[in-house]
Amino acid sequence: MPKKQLDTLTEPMYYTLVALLSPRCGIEITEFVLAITQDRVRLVPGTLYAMLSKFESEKMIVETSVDGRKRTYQITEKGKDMLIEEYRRLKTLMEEGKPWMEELL
Amino acid sequence: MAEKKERLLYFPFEYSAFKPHFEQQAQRGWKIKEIKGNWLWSTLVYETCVPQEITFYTDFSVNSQYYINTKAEDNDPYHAFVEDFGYQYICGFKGLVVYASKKEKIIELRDNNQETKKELRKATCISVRNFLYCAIVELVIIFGGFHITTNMVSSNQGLLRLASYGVVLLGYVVALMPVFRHLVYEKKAYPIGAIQRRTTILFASLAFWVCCYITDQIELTLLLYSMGISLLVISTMKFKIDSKKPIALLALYGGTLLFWLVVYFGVSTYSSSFRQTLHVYQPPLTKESLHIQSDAPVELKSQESPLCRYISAEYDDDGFYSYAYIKDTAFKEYLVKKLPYEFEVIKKEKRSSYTIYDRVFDVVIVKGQTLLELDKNLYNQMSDKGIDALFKQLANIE
Repeated sequence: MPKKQLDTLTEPMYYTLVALLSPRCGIEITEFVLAITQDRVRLVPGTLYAMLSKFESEKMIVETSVDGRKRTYQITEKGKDMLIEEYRRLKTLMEEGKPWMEELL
Repeated sequence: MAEKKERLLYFPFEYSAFKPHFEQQAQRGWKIKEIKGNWLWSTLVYETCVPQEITFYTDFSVNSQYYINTKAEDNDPYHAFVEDFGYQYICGFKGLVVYASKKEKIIELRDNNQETKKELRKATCISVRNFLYCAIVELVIIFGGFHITTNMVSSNQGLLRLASYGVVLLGYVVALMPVFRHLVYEKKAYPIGAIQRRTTILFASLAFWVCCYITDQIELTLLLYSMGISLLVISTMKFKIDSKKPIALLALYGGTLLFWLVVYFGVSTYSSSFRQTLHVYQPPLTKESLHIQSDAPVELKSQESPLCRYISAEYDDDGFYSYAYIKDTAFKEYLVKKLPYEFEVIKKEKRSSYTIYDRVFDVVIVKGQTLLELDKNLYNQMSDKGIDALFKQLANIE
């Protein structure tokens, strides 16, 4: 049975791919995501490792260097396409809901 | 450096139960050093250390399900990944991974999202599958073992075996019940006490079967089992008692000895009250009673003797009998039905000294007395009439 492609990205997935626009290792990804979300999204090692393994098997990220036991990853073109698609989807959601949602705020 | 071992049966979804346990052990001066074992249970090896506060973190790993050797476990890339976050890998086995923290500010290893739950489920399923492979092989051995190697005669033994099967099955059900509750009802990790109890129940059930298998007799089973429990109590309790408290240790050994003595005398009383006392059977087999007319010396013609259809004998080197055997199943059943005594059928392995009959026989002994004692010259001369007389006498033994 072929593996199911990732249809949409969860919040941790989205931020992980954003972090990997530059080469980063695990701890750097966590610190980056913590910084840009102002401590709101905390990627724990167990979850992050599983996510990176999944991204790697889907060829959305690639291992760029191995320094001892430390591995650094970076997003691939396929990953970028997926990220852009997700970004556009989120943007569309915001724009389409804006006339009604602004009134609520 | 002293070591102590703890054998546990756990599953990956119980990983969080081990964190407080390892920390408590470290406070008592025992630091977790290694986990090894087999597909059924795991052995946690502790080494002595200065009693201290160590912050452990436990995690599960799908990959470590496959590891039997710890070197492969050490090379898991996940450990290197987690070490970047300030953890130090200690050991891992069968889905459980142990880290110690090097940092003051800790990042939790796992959160409660769907991805984690999915992974945990996968790890648990693999673990259960491996456990079942092992359990099935073991159950086949257990259920087949008695029937291959022994020959049940009395209902007493039948009940004992039935009990041993039931106990083993119960042990496995108890062992797997938490998995069922976790997978179906998504119950979370159990405390370490529950894991220890579950392991004890499984081991106790297997030990009961082993005792039944070795003795094949209720009294001996209970005795052997009580001795086993005594040893188990000593081995588990002595680690909990500070070695600087000789009185406590003395009480432990004394208490265990007392327990064993109580069981011993209890079983002895049970045995004598439930079993009939056999009047020592003096073989009343004379030539007259067996209708043997001839006085002439007789050659050994064991295969030709009519009695050989039913009874055979083992001889000492000097020609004296030592035991008699019941060869014929129908005759054995006849005896069981007719005689009001408990039979103990003891398996005799085929030995080279069994020169008369090259096959395996059952030795029938009643309360330590050989039931049939026949002179080889006598039984070779017995006619059919003599055999009938023998049957009659056997049926009337009191």
